[in-house]
Amino acid sequence: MESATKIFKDFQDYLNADHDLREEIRSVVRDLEQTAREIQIILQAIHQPSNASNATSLCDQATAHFSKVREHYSSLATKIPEGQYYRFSDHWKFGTQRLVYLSALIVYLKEERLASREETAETLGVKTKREEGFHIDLDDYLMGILNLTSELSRLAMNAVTAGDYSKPLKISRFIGELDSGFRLLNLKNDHLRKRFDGLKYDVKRCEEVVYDLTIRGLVNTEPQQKGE
Amino acid sequence: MDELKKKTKLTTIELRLIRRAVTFRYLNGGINEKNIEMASRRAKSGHCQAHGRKPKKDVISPVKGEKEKKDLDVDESSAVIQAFRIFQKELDSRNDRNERIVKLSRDITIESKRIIFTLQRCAGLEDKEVVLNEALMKFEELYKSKFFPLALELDGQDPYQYLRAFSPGLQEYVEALTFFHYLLDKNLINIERVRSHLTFPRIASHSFEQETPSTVKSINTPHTNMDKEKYSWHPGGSNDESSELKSHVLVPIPPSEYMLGVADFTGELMRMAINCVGARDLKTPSLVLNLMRVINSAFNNFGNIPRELRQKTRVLSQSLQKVERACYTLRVRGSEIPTHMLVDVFTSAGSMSAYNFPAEEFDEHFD
Repeated sequence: MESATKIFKDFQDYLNADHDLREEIRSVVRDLEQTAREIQIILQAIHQPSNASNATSLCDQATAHFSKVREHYSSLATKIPEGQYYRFSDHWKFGTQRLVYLSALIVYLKEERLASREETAETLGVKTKREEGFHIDLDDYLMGILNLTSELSRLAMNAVTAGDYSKPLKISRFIGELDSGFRLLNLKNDHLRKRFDGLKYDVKRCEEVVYDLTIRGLVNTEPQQKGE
Repeated sequence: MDELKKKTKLTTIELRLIRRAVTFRYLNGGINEKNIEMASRRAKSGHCQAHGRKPKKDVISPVKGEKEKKDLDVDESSAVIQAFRIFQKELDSRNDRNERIVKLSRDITIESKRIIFTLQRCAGLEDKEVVLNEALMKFEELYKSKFFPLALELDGQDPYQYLRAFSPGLQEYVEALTFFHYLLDKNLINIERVRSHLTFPRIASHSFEQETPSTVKSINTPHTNMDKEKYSWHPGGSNDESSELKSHVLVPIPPSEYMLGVADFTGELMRMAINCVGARDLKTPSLVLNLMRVINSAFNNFGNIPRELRQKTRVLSQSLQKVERACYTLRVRGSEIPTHMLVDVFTSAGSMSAYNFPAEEFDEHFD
């Protein structure tokens, strides 16, 4: 029975170590999510008609916060034992998804294109590939992008309210392109799939805005720009 | 219907088909002669079946067509599409791997359960070697056909990413292996030795050929072979050095998975204790009881435990109490009841709620 006692003692040590590590991770993730919220508050201002023109300065403000994000991620990365990313990844999944969305939103507002996985990883201060260390999980990146589409479909409507009639067209085309991209993926019946199922409503919302504008002759570009 | 039948000289089946066509709003104006003529022509040429379904198809086909078109018309030059092509490959390969691992895990579960059943037949036998030997052979086969491929799948991956896929099989295997080792040396196998079983040299086919016959043979010669190492599949696997590690692939066992397996193993102990009574082996239950008490108190002492383990702790306490009851009954009534009747006492005790155990909780032990 000596050996049994040792087995259980070892296991208790393992449990304690696991618990302590998770506590540490939690505290870092809390800070990370706090920073994400701060960035989000800044970027929410883009929906206000008065801010429609100075989106760039809002982006710059938000970008400044990402240095803090990179710090948090690097301290997180030091805590994770090699090859055990997925043992703890549930802790930071949501934070990462939100930050992917925010950084992709900034890229879109500035350059009207999709932020690649590589540059998103760079903005967040993490790697792209699992082999290289602390990375963005592909699922999290895609979830972030899907969150971006809802935000953009909302922006399309608010842009109209603010009197900007060209933005909805661009957004609609962009979301249409993302939609055909996501259609290429063979998704399992998981959370990503569920979120993807919601993408069609974003597409629809944008198309409706474009339709409303077109039918009233508020658009002066050629009609085939209608995205889908 | 009959009137129509006479009038149009159509068969009942044909008429039914026409009705269906009308229901599907294929024919306007209900059953009139013009429609009947049209439909009967269709029915006779064998198209009606298809037409009956056609309205449904009409709803589907534009969507489907659009989707197909979309897939084909995807602008491959666009950066977004190119990126998603890469994601597609990555997701597919990950999902495929996950699927393969789930399959292996399921096979491991099934085979482990069989091994456990084999081992249960040990109860009350004087000579356990035949049974143990049979179990060992099953283990060998399991390593060769399931665990080694699983180790290869996990090689170079983050095992925690796929843990959910292979954890059921792994737990069942740990249960079987701890049971096997308990029967061998009446002790709990530690995690290092479980690990050593699941560490394989990278070039496996070669060593499998060599290893298998010698081990089985040595187990056949009595007594001296009760040495532990002979039962472990790969003797050198337990002390891995870093240089050696690269030439090995392994199925990793997180300690929590091992412990969950051990928790399940106590259920087997309980069953064995009860069975032993039936086989007139009155010593084993009290031996089993000792180990179960050690495990139980250890489990109750654990702090910071995951939820899964907490549930198993409850089940374990119940199993323990059941064996304790059995030992009590054995002591009190053992002298008055013949042993072959004693087992009936325990089995019926299990099915009745006389010992204040809700019935469904018993089922957990036995599934």
